[in-house]
Order: sequence, then structure tokens, then C-alpha cells
Amino acid sequence: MSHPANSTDQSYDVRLSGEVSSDLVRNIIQQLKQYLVITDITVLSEALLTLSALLKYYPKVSYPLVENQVLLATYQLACSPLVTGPALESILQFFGTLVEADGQIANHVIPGLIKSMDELGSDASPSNISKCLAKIVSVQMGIAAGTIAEFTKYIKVGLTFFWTRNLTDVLS
Amino acid sequence: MLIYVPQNYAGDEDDEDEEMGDGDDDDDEGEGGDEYSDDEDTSYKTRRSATKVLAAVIGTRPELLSKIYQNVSPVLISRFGDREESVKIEVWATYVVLLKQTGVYGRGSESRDLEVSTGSKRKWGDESMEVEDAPMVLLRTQVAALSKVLLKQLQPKSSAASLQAGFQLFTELLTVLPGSLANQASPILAASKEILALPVTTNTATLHTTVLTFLVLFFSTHTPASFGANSSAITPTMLNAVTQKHPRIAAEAFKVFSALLQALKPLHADKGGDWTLQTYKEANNRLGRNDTDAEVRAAAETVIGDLWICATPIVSAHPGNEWDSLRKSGRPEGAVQVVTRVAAAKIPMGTAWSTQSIEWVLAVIRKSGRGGRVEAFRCLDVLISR
Repeated sequence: MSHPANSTDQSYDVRLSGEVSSDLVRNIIQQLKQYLVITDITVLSEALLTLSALLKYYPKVSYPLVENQVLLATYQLACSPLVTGPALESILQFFGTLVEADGQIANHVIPGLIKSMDELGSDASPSNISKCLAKIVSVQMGIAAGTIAEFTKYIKVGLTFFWTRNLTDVLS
Repeated sequence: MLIYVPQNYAGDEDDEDEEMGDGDDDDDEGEGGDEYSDDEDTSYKTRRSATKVLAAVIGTRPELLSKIYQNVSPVLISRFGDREESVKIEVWATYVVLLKQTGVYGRGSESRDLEVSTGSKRKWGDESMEVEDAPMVLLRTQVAALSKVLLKQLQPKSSAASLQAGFQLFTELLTVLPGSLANQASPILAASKEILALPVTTNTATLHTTVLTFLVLFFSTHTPASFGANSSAITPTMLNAVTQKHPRIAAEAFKVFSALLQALKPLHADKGGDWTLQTYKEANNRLGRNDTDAEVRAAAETVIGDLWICATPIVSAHPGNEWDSLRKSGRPEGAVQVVTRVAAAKIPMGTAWSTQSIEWVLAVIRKSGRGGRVEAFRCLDVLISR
């Protein structure tokens, strides 16, 4: 095996960032996908944190992969009432890092989350979704006004628990 | 009763003790630890029993700690050099009880002490008196006398049981009052060196581990300025301990080097280069062998991490196979910890090391049970965020 930092002074000039190749990022995401299930909540939480780290430090490589291969699964996880505590914190961090990596995706993530919640109906957790939306809006403040305006429409139709909660979270 | 001095009691008066030791009593002392030449003198039994009573009082009456430090502790210290070994060991054991009680119940008073000294709104008066009487404060004032008397007893010619009890007392003292032996660093390290130089036998193996455990605590609780050059005098002896077959001795010796590395960091070729390199080679040797004991392996893994963090220029100049050995280990938990520590310390390890470590951690995550996975994930996060 090649030895890490050899005796030459050059080895001390090795950059501390950007040490993970694109292929390796791809492999990591490929492996992490299998842990994005509710069966082991601790591993799920850790996997989401690792995805967040990849989005933070290697956004160019990881973002398209996450968008295509992971995002749908995270919508469903966010809707699950079983995702609480540290796992919920991890999913909030994931969405926060995701919209930070690419500002444009926030406009797609919010409808995606709402759609997943609608599909699950009464099995979904409105509380979790509202927290996710609040996190996204807090990172991308540019969409705050539009999001609030969109959800305010529902107040006129009839105020449900979800929309009340969501508005409270977003406005706070 | 403890301070009752029989006619043939030598006490802590060294000269007297030596005279008596060299006299007619010599042969009888050699034959039996509990017997004196004068069979009628059974006063040591009284002293030993009195000490046991005191141990019971100390262990059950924490509210009396301050009074015990004022009235009993000086007497116990004066008896540290009791001629009769069983009494001496009993007195030391009693003092260990006192220290343990101080560790549990004496800290509250010390925190109050800190509050007062940092200029809080507390009124001076009764409370300041209480602070002066705090067990921890009183112990601190007695450390010098305690260590001086105890050190006189820690001679290599003493019995293994006696030496072990003495070092256990020192260990307990450092647990309760870290860094309190700074003024005695030189004689303590000299005594440790002499004892570690004794050949390892079935009888002395436990003594060696006790001394090494003490040294771990000593180096991790004292500043480099307090032990300074004395550390280099003891390192050859410890390097010898690292190569011992006895697994606990080798493991503890590695732990001593870990503590020493952490205390003296950063190290380079001109500062601790010789012993650092030898420790590195021995750790590599232990990790590369299949018959290495699990405890030794764990300690060797930890010291590899410490070497990379604290002595990077030295170890990077002498490539070894430690990372290969770590990754091949049947117990990945220790290796995961080492990789995490080195990665978190931002040591420049190069892209190849990062890539190989990430691939290895991914494999660990795939194979690990529930317990090891979380640590492996944390390791992966640290490697990604380097």
C-alpha cells in the first residue's frame, strides 16, 4: 500500500479538501441509498448526515446524483410519523444542505413534499412536512414570500391543522 | 490508638529504622512479614485494627471529611512508614479510602471555593471559613508531606505488595487531585524507573502494570514543564516494557507513550525523535503480527493514532504498514477510532490515504453490526469533510 504522507515536504502541501474523487462520491451515494429506509432509524439518521456532508463539500458531483437517485426516497421518509428526534433533525439538515447546494431546487422540493404527503393521506406526518418546509424557506429566504402567499390561500378555503402548522413554522 | 508508639516501633524516623533494620531483628524480619523478633510485641495488631476502624469511619461518614483531614490525615501520613508492613499497607489503604471519599464528596466545597475566589457576590465570613476547611483544600496542603513520606517507602528492595500499594495510593491521589505531584516529579519518575527495571516475574507483573497505570495518569495530568527532562530518562525503561511478552505490561506501556505523546506534542526529530520512532516501530510490529493480544493491539492502535497526530514529521519520514494492518484487523472498531482521530486532526495524509480509508469504512459499514455502524458513519463524515 502506498504510505500516506511520505517523508518529502511535498506531502505536507497536500490540500486538505477535495480529496474524494467523483467516482468515490458516486460509490458512497450508491451505498447510502440502501440505508434510506425506516427499518433502522439510527442508520437512516447517519446516512442522511453523510449525504448532507457530501452535498456540502462536493456539491457539484453529489447534487445531481442526490436529485436523481435519493430525493424521492427522502420525500417519503419526511412524511413518515416514525421519523422523529435525531432522524428528523438529520432530514432537516439534509434538506437545508440540499437547497443550499442549489437554490433552484427549493421550488421543486416544496411541491414534491406536498405531493408525497397528499399521496400518503392520513398516514403522513403534517408536522414533519411543515418543519421541512420551514427549514427550506429559512435557508432560501427568497422563496419565503411566495411560499407564504401560496399557503395563505388555504386559510380562505378552510384552515386545516397542517396549513396552520406550516404557516406558523414558516413565519417563525 | 493509632498513634500509640511501642518501644520497638521505629516509625518514620529513618535513622532509627535503619539501625533497627540492620540490627539483630534482621533475620526474623526476613522470615516472616508479620512477625517481630519480640514475639510478645503484638502492638502492630492494635495499630492495624485501629487503622481499619478509621477506614470504616472515613468510608461511612463523608460529613466528617474536613475534620478527618485536620485530625486524622496527618496521623495517617506519620504512620506511612510504619515498621510493620501489614500496618503500613493498611494505613495506605485507609488513605486511599479517604481520597476516594474526597473525590466523591470533597468537590462540592471546592466549587464553592472557586465561586468565592472568582469574586461572586458571596459574603466573606462563615462561608470563607468553610472554604478553608474544604477537604480538597486541606488535601492540597498535605500533598507535599504525604508524597515525601510515601516516596521514602518506595524503594526497589521493598516487597512487591508494598510497592504496589504505594503506587495505587499515588494513582488515587492524581485521580482526585490531578497535577498535584508536579513538585515531586523527579523522585517519582526515578522510583518508577527503578521499579520498572526489575525483572518481570509472576510476582512483579501486577506491580509493573500498577506503576505503568500510574505513569499514564501522571503524564496526562501534569504539564511538560513539571517533568521536563525526567521523561527522557524513563523512556528507555518504558520501551523495554513495550516489548514485554506480558500483554498487560505491553498494553499499559503503550498507553504511557500515548499519554506522553499527548503531553509533549508537537514532537519532531530533535525532540523525542528516538523513543518516538522506536515506539512507532514496536506498535507496527505488534499490529503486523497475528498472535498479538487484543488488549495490546488496541493500545498499539491508539498509540499509532497519537504518533500521527503528535509526531507527524517523525512517523511520516519512516513509512510503515500500520494502515494496512489496521484495516485488516478483525476488530474494526479500534481502527475506525484511529482513522477518525487522524482525519479529524487535519493531518495531511494525502489523497491515497483518504480514498483507501473511505473505501475501507464503506466496507465496515456494509459488514458491521448495529453498534459499529454509527462510529463508521461518523468516521466517513470526518473523512468527507477533511
